[in-house]
Amino acid sequence: MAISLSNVHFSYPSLPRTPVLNIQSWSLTKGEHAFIYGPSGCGKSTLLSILAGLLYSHKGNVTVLNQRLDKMSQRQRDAFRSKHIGYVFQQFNLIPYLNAIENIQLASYFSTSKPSVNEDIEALLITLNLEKKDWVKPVRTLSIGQQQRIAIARALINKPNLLIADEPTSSLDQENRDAFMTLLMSIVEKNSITLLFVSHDMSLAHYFTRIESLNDINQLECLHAN
Amino acid sequence: MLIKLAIKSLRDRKGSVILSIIAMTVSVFVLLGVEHIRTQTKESFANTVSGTDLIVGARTGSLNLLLYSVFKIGNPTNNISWRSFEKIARNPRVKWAVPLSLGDSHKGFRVLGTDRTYFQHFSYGNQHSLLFEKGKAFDNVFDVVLGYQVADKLGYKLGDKLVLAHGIAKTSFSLHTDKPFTIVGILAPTGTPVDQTLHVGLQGIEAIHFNGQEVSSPQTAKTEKGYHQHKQPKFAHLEPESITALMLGLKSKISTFKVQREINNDTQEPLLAILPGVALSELWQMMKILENTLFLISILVFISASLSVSAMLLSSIKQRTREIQLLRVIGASPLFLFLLIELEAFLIAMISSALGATILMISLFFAQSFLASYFNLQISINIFSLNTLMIVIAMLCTSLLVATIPSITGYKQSKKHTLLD
Repeated sequence: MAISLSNVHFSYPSLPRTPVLNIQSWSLTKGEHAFIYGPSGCGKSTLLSILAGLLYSHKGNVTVLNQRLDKMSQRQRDAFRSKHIGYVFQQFNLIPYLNAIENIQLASYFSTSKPSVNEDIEALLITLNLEKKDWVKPVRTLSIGQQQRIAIARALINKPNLLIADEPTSSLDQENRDAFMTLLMSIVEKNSITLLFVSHDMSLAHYFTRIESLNDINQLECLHAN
Repeated sequence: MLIKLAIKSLRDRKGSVILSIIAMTVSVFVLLGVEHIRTQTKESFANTVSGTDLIVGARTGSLNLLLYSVFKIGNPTNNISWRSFEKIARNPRVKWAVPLSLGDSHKGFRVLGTDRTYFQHFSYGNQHSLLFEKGKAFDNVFDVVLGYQVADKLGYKLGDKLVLAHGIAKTSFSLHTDKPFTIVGILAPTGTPVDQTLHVGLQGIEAIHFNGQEVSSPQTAKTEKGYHQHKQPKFAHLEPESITALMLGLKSKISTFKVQREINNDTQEPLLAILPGVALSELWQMMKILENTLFLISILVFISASLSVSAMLLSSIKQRTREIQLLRVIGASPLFLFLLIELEAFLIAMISSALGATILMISLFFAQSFLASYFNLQISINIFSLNTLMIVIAMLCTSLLVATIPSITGYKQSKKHTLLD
């Protein structure tokens, strides 16, 4: 099992009477590529935060890659995340004043297991069709399409078992979106990485084998906007 | 990686970082400058006179007497008669007496009229006597011995001729042009006002003022009151009528207070005898308030600069919410973010300290000759001492301490961060 959730209840400490998540049971097997869709305000960010170990659920069982996240200390969760989980956001995936290589080195630095190997970084950037001259430019000078590709490289450098992608294509145009998806799917396939892809863009669903609505996972009604 | 990230992130916010660095550099400059000049002044004053038991001058404040006779700062209030000098010199308890006559200058350097015994008895620092680098003491009426700095700055050699000016301003309208002096000796450097002084015999002083053509304007005469009087031509001999002050060495230290009392109670002329050490400590007492005030002000300036750096960092945390969130997601611990912000503050403080110290040294280099010639202060360019090192360390610690405010904010905020859109 890559992810296994059971009886997870969550509410923010500042609003204890407003439950945000109530998940009876949900799981994702290793190597599976899941597409989860749903409007914002249904606890999407909260769910992803819990899976990444950024938020801590007091109730229920959160198992990611056979590790009980709810039993870990914050420090252990930070280490676990940097080692095993890759993460791609909608935007702001990179430190804007660092260049591509430095951004990837930074991710490698926080994962204590393996020191950064420049050959690995270069191989990744080549795989992701990034031109060599763009490697050492501050990433803010690059296009969004280029930045999202570097973001994949950053997410993959520590050879994660699980890749979480949170609307990574919503700031890309149609052409870039297709190129990005093709690239992402082929890399995930090649490295047999479990992929959890969250988006509201149903046109991307055809890339995936498993498609689920957030409303089916989360038993709560989407009342509060995020 | 932490250091690289801190440097790159500071470079990314050049504008506000440079302003913070400037604010802090100014405060480092002020703090180190005040401290350096304070210690250097004290050192230079304390080293100036030693081995002299008493200084005698016209009745005035003891500080004033000390300042004008030894440090050549300020103006004498009145002269003392040659007869009083002879009387004191004849006192059986007195081992030696050196007359001092002030009031002339050469290109901004003061001229001291004295006699040959000055070179034997005057000592400075840890009982160092005056040494001749070149030449010897004056023999003739128109011989002059230069202090080291005078010869160095004005480029004089032995045998050169120079003219003295009346008064102490750098440009004087009453030059004693018809009476040139010949340089017969140049003293070795001492680090005291002696380096800035030209020494001539008392007869030389009398001689240049003994001339019918030489008439000073009434105004000059008024402002220079208290210096030697310009003699009228009818006085044909070169015996001085009055001197500015005199230095005494006694046969036994025990008799110091007795001799001091005798001089102070002299009925022939109102005189004042002071112990240089006592007068110096009076000076420190007075200076202490000023020193402490200055030091306190510079500390406050520094703290306000540290606070402004912290304010800058605090507002940067607000701007960097996304960046902090990203760092957390890729595995940075809250401690890492705490350290990152502390390090940024530390780097700013380091750069500012280095800049402040460099600018101070450059300023001292340019101000050195000015301070020396106008205030007779010997300030060295070398600001590196245990004291300044301690101050720099204290400053770095303070900036780290003040930076805990934004650092803790960053730490707390990073703990709260989740994947908000």
